[in-house]
Order: sequence, then structure tokens, then C-alpha cells
Amino acid sequence: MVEKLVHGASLEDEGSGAVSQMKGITLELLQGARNFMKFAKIKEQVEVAILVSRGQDDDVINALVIAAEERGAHVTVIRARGRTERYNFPGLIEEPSRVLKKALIGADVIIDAGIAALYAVGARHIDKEYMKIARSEYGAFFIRSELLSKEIMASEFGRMPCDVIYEIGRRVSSMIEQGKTARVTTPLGTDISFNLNPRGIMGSFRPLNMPGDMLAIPGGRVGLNPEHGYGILYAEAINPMVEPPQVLMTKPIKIVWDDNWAVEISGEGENTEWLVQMMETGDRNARWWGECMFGIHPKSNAFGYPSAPTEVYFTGVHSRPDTLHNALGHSAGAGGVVSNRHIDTFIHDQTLYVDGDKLIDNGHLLVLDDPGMREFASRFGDPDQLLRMSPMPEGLFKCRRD
Amino acid sequence: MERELMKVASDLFVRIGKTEECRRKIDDYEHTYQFEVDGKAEFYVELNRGVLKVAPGVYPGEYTKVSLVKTDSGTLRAILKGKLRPLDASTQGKWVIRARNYSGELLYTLLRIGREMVIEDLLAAQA
Repeated sequence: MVEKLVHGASLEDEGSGAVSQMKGITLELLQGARNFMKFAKIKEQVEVAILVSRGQDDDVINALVIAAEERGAHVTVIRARGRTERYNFPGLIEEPSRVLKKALIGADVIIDAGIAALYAVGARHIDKEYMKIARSEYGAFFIRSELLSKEIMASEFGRMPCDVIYEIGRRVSSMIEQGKTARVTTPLGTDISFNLNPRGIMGSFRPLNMPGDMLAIPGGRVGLNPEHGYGILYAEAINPMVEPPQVLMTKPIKIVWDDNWAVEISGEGENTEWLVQMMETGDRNARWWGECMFGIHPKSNAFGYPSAPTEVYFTGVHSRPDTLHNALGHSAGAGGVVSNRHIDTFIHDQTLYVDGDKLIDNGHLLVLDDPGMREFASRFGDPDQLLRMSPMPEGLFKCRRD
Repeated sequence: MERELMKVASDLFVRIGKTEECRRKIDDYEHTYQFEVDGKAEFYVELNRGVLKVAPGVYPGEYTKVSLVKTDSGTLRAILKGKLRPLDASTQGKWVIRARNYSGELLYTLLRIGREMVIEDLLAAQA
């Protein structure tokens, strides 16, 4: 079937099995882009700046432009250096260009659709002055697109209505808000506990709010600010955005928390020495337990693994309900501790308890089985299909459970 | 809070509300900023789908759509006169927003529009 788009491009609907052999902009790709723009609240007359990185697939960018223009937006695409280019040009750690910074304050909506196009400066670019000015003084929405490749954009992750994710998030956050304590265990031996603060819940699990708000779309993560946390964490991976020597380790790093402070970092994990060094070279809050976050998106996955760049496939890993990460350093939630480090350390197949009741059981988010949740999902399709998790690729997490 | 300062605040917010940029930014939203100055609820700024209204006292409407701004009259005066950015006042601890619905950024945007108008007025007066 061939369909004409508003821009006159040819659209081949190749069906649901076409992801691996797509040519140009398919219907599924466009559905992913349209879903994104709907939940980014793009509408008529809105000035949209889409930041992309050099070398990124043109079909991904074009699909976003088409979907935004279909909604009547005025779109400008800015192509900047992406993080993956740093491998070709080592040492390129610099601020975004002056042109880019100026462009940000002219946009109503900034969509960072690149492979970390704003990310040459480090994990906390949202705290940079230029971003504060764009968001606060000019009221620009800042939206990070997680549809980084054609495969992701056309996938169920990209096309699933965010209403479903926001409803999952609402139910999960509501349970956490009413709790006092949390505990996380894993088959690898992690056993950590902390107090919950309802004001410290954050993440990408809710609709976009008022001007200046920021959100990742599709997102699907709920985060907490641990308080008075204790226990032993066996971390199996480190977020690639902070450039560890090896993202997915074959042996874990042992982190001992004592009143929210990493008093011990040890073990045979490939990144242990690197992590200790990051603590030593970080500021005085680098060892603070700044975040505990887990995925809630049943369709999230390591799309493109292992051939895609790590930055691309790992984005989907951390929205999976069977992964959870704890950050050393800067607190992501309101009222937290400030640090120049924010290093996410990952575990998987975790069990998460709130006040002793399981919220996640060995990587399975129990809210997905809730009859009320299933009834809600049925408004958008078959709940069995929508809420069923895709399996993790074999061999992604490498630590052995002896 | 002095009556004169209340008038400065009211006049500026009314002018901000008449700008095209403000109308565009607040087009879709219903929200209220309650200003507590020197420890007393002095006035509120109500946004209602593109219309901005200023009134004295305590906002009588739904509490869940209200963000609370706490400051002192010296800081408020400096901001309204374009001499201090609210972002800087916040960093200095002189301006605190207890924001609901992620509404804090929008108030900074409105006050930036106001600051640009005040600066234009000063330049025009000098000319």
C-alpha cells in the first residue's frame, strides 16, 4: 500500500514486521513521530527547535519534522555535534555553540532529538545557565526525544500512547507517595533500604505541564530521592553517558551505603577503579546517594543491541521495569543534594518493596497485572499485548549469579 | 507592604498580561501565584487561559492551582524595577516559590517580559 503524506513523500506501509527492512519513512515510523508530537503538546503556531546530531538517520529527523508540521508548528532543525562524535575527536568536551544557545531562547519547545546533541558538556546540562534561561526566563519546554533510531521510533515503545505510561506512572507514584520505606534486593545479592520522601518523586512518567517544564518522551521512569539509606549494592552496569571503561561489567561493583553515603566502593567489577577515581575527583557530595530510579515502560528495550551505539540502545534499557539504577552524587529530585557528579549504577531483575509490599517482583512490575490498569489499557488496544514486557536481549547483563 | 509598591506590582503585571508573548505563553493554563511579601499574603496574579488578572489579598479559589511566592518588599521592588532577576534573587534565597504543577518557570518568564518593558521605559525616558 502506498500513501501520500502531506509533504508529498511516498509512504510504504510495510506492516508490523518491517522494522528491520525499512526504506524511507514508513507508516510505523511516522506513527512513532506523531505519538511523540502529541505528547510534546505541539500545536499550531508553536516555534519548535529540533536539535539533532550529525550522522543521525535523516528519516528519524524528517519524521519528527513532518509530525510537528502536521500539527501546525513552525519547525527549525539545528544539527550539532553529537556525543558519539567524541570518539572520533577525543577531547572535544565543550559547551554547545553560541549560536545554539541563542537559538534556544527563541523556541517555545526545544526537542533534543540527537544522540546527546547538548551533551558534550556533561550529565547535568539542564543545570547550565543557558538552559535555565531558556526554560525559566523564556518559558521553553525542554523535551528529550528517546526515539534515537528508526528501529526505536517505529517500535511499540515509540508508538505506544503515552497515556498508558502516564497511568502506570500515576499508579506507581501513588503507591510510593503513601509509603514510608523502600527496600531493593537482587539475585546478585543487593539488599538496600531507605526512607521515602513523597516530595522527592520525579522522572518521566507524567504529562508535560506548564511552560519551562522538561520531560523525556516516551520516557517511563519513576525516581526517588533516597533518605537515610543503608545496605549493600552490587552494581552491574554504569550509564554510558558518563563514559565508564565498560558499560556492562562481567563482575559487579560493591557499594556500601551508610546513611545515604557510599562508604565503600570495591569489588572486581571492571569499572571499580574508575568509579573510585570519579569519586576522588568529584566534589564533596560525589558519594551521596542521589537517586534510585526504575523503569515502568513495558515496551522499552535495548533496541539495536549490540550493533547500535551504546548511547542509543542503553536509553531503552533504563526505562525497563526489570532494571533499576542508583546514582552517586547529584540528586535528581526537588530539594536534593547538589554535586558535580551524577553516576547511574544499574542492577536488574530487582525486587522492590514499599513498606514491605512488593511493587516489582524479580523485574516484573506488578501494576501491569492490576485489573484497573488493564481496564485503562483496554481503551487503547489489547491489554495483554500493551502491558506485556518484551524480553531483555540475551547476554546484555553479564554478571554471573554464582 | 506599601500601597505604592502594590500599585507598581499591579500595573506591571497588567502590562505584562497585555503582551502578545504573555498571552501566547499562558494561553492553555489556569494557575495562580499568591505573593506573600514580608510574611503577609498581599496580592495574587491569576492566569486564566490567556487572561492575566491581579488582585489584592488572598486568592479565594481552588488551592490546588496556587503556587506560593515568598519574598520581602525590598526584593520585590528591585525585581519590579528591573534591577534584579528573580533567578538571581532565588539563588540568593530572597525569593522562594513553592510551585505546583511545575509552574515556577512560567512566573520567571512573565517577570522577564516585565523586566524588558521596564528597561525599555528607562531607555525611552533617557532619550
